[in-house]
Amino acid sequence: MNARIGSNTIVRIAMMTVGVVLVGGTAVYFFRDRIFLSFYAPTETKLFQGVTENEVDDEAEVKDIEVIAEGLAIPWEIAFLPDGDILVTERPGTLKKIGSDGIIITIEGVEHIGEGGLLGMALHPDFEKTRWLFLYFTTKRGDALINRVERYRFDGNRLFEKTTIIDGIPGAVYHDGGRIAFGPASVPVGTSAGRPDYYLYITTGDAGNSNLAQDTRSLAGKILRLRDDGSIPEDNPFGNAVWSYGHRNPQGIVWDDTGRLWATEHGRSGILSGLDELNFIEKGENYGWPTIQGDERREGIRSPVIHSGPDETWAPAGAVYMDGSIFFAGLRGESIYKARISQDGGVSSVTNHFRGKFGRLRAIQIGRDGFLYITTSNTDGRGEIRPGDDKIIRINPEIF
Amino acid sequence: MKIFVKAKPLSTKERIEKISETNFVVAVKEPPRNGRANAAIVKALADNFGISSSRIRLVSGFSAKQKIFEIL
Repeated sequence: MNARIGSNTIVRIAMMTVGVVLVGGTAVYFFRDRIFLSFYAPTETKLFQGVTENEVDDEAEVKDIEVIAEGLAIPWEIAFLPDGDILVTERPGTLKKIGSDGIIITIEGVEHIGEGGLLGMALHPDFEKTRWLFLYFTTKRGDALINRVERYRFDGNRLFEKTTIIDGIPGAVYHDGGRIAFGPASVPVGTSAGRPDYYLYITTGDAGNSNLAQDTRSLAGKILRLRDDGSIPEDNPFGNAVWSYGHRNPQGIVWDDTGRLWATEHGRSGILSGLDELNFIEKGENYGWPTIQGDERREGIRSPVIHSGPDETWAPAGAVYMDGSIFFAGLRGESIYKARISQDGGVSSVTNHFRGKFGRLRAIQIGRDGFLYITTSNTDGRGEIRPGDDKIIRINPEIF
Repeated sequence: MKIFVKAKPLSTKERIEKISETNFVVAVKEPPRNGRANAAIVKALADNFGISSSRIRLVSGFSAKQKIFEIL
């Protein structure tokens, strides 16, 4: 008798379990898009809300905020050509010229998967003489994903004379880094010291293998520094391309008006998303990933100058410097963040602006006209697509 | 390298006056509207130094007469 009751009970429990799994699974299936997007929804902010959201009247917004390009596919970086046209990389693998003729160039070999694809772009500091354009993109070597920087000559219509600057940066579906930018010249302008060295700085992600970030022989989870021909500068700290290490997924680099290098870096993701960083980068330093995060301290490791805290996600990407502040674009944070640099080299405040107004933001640059230019990233599968997305938007910097 | 520029938009003639190694007065014909004078000053500085305009960035003084440019 007891054995029969026990058996019936087990059958009932089993049936109930199957029922719960079926109902739960069906619910998850039908709401899968909403569940997925919830992982990328903006978090609550403790930051001071900038004046841009509430104090700019409609007339000022029309004048000071202008959409200058629409219908882009996951734009990642923008650059300004001498003739006023704008180049934009699109992650699926196209380079577009916005302006006079609307040329579209497909970049050969780009592997668009997850966060990988055609990412960073930089014009050579002497572009008007060299016509050199640098691109960072994800590609395949055999079955493995890698990232690579290539240099092309660009005549305004086509790319040619392709040269590989650095190859074999570990790639993955997530954490591909990808920002590239030239730093200040080694020789001041107007001197007779000869042609300056131009150093190209490259941010790389840990490619999902956090231990690589602490290995100075690996190119993953690093900020790299190379000459414009791909050679290794003699004063690099480890005899290779590595300039700093211990990075998770940095996607923004910028120099302030004293020549100091700063980098934005994505902190942990998923349910524990947060601890995004703004770092002051120095030669040979270890920035902690994955050994320490946030406010944690350890001898020989640099902590971020400021971070978003454990409950807020900026998902910081491109960065620029203007008027004593670093402005950086936020993906999940859906904001432009303004980090005010204090006289002692720290950050005195961080404010967020336009929160949610344009959606996810990836690139930010300063045009020759002094305006800020940002790109949205709402077509990347993690955002809410709005009419005209994705866009390039021009913003008067005085409204911050 | 930072240079300090006193801007003179809406001038009849474009000219650059060197005050010191890092201080300049730059006169341009463009009006101070919609970033046009800023872009013209960048081009004038690039021509004066014999460098690409992509090396010059405005870092302060978007609409002010006193501007600071960073030269990469």
